[in-house]
Amino acid sequence: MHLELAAQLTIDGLLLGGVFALAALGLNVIFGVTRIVNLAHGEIIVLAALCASVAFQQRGITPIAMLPFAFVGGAVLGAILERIVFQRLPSDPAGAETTSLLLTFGVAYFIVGFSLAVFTGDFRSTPYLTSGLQLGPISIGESRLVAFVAAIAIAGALAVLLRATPIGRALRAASQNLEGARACGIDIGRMRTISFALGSGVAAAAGSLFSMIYAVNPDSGSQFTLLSFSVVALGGLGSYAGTLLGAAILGLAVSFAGFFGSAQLGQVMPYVIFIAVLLFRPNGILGKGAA
Amino acid sequence: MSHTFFSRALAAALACATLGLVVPGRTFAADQSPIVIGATISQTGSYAVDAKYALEGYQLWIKEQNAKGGLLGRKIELKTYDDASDPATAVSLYERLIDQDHVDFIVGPYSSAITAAVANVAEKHKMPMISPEVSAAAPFSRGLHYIFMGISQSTHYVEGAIAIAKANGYKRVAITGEDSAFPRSIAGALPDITKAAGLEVVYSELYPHNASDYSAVVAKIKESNADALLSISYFPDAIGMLRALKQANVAPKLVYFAVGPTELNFGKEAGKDADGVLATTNWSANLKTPNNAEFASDFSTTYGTPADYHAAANYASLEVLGAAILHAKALDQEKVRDFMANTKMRTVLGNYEVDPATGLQLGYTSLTLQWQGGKQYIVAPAAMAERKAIVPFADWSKR
Repeated sequence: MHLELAAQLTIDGLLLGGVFALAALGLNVIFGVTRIVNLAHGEIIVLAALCASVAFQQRGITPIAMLPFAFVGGAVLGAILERIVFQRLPSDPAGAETTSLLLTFGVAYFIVGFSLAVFTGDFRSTPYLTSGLQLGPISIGESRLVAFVAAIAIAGALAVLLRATPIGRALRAASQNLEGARACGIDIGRMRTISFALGSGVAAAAGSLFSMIYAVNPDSGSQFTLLSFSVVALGGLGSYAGTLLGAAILGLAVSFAGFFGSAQLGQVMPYVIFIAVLLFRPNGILGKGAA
Repeated sequence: MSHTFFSRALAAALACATLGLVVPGRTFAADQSPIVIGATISQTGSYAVDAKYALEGYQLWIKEQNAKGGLLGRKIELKTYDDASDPATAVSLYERLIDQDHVDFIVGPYSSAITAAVANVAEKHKMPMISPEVSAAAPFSRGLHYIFMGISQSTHYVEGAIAIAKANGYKRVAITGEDSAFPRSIAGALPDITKAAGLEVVYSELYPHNASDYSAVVAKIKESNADALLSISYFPDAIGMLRALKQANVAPKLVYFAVGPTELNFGKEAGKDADGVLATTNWSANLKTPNNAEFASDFSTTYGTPADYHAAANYASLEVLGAAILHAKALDQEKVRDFMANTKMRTVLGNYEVDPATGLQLGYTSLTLQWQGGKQYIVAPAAMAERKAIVPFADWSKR
């Protein structure tokens, strides 16, 4: 293998890792506090991608300009969903697990139906930043570079928010010890709403950028949910640095396995690694409680 | 005793009365009730977009035919279920259409994969099924007698693109596409077709459905130094591949994406990057086939969007079924089957003619189109071309 090819595959893999990380961060935020695996996560991403595509084609608003709107829109949607639907789950996390899977699955169906009614089944995409930057023999996809930078920025912002602000401390307390946090006067219900708003906002921001990378229709959500879940499981549930690391590993695995193995192997790599992690390191690489 | 006798007599009288009423009543109803044609259509799931046109093609023909008085003096009704793009679901729904709904005829569902599964149901019940959305040859090599291909064979799809490659001396060909029934049916036949044309296959590999990334495939196409890319792609993967090519700055001299770019919104979703992309269609509003101009204009006025080849193929299949029923003068499955197997007729799609032994389509041909300046034009075969193909595919830096 010549050096240029190795460099190109590494860059492709890392950029793809950025895309994966962006998809997974929101899922991790919600899980961290509520212990709910939000199966409607991919549908929120897709809904935002569809909105971004329509905004670009009808109003010329770029997905990057859409980011703040997507974040706020996603956050409001997440908060409403939590207040109306998820708040009714039993507060005991263990008892809520099965119910929450069914409930979020149902919400996913609802969002698909809603998106189909509004956007039809057509595939949509945003033809913006589709070029590659040429650095000597290496090319770097612009839209992927944006997704990569956004993933790192969002992970950084989340880390600062959680460590350096009172709300962040309360969120962390709620995620580490529910009863203890409640005893200290933290409003657990409010923390759950905030985490849903935050996670859904990040998912919607990701979706807005994904419209430059993928063509999606309302049925495309589950592939993002699955992918996000394997990234989060690899990196460790609740760990943002782990999400970045897990996504980078998966991106590189897809890129190299896709080239040296086959396109099929590239596609199944996330799940192969996912199963391996479950077997040998069930808490993820940087997961809480890892040895 | 007398009580028993009385109730028996009453029962007998009731039975007679019921039979007397119901039997002629049924005959009466059979003459006037609509002829019901059953099918499943993928209204949700991955085929939903194209399948919508397929359904509208069926609906439009029935609407028009009913306006002309139906068939054999009876109205026609379409009964459809959503198979959710899933072959197993479609199989059980066709069983339901036949066993529980007692439809008079069945017609094909959307996609080669689903038709292949449903073909066995048609065979089991000995009900002829003309299928406008199966272009793969595989279901027709199983010795089935009740399924007929209502669209051009998929192996014809690439002939135009290969002719263009050959004419321009593009010898090195890369083959890829989605790893599912329809693309595989084309990709599997391509090595022979390209060899016959004197071209060399330098790369061949299919990528999975819903692939999250195409850059590794593009890296291999780049390494193979191919002149022509023949990618058998649906819509989302055609967009994904095109973007991966652009981001990697790889521009083969000929870029062909099968059916993804055939959809009109490809130009909108891909933007200027669509220019130069080749694709295949089986129908055009400009075809000089019987009733075609009326079909095209009726379709746009009824559904608010221009028709595509799916709509035309489904419409054409009902033209064949309608002619078969008129020919049989009754709802006779065997007579209709024989007509479908042996007839040659003109439809909006072209010349319908199948191999009587297998049901494989022999008459219909494919058209190659190219995106030029944001619009689709037919560029092959020469006799039907609206414009000349523009090759080589422009370098990404020169757009």
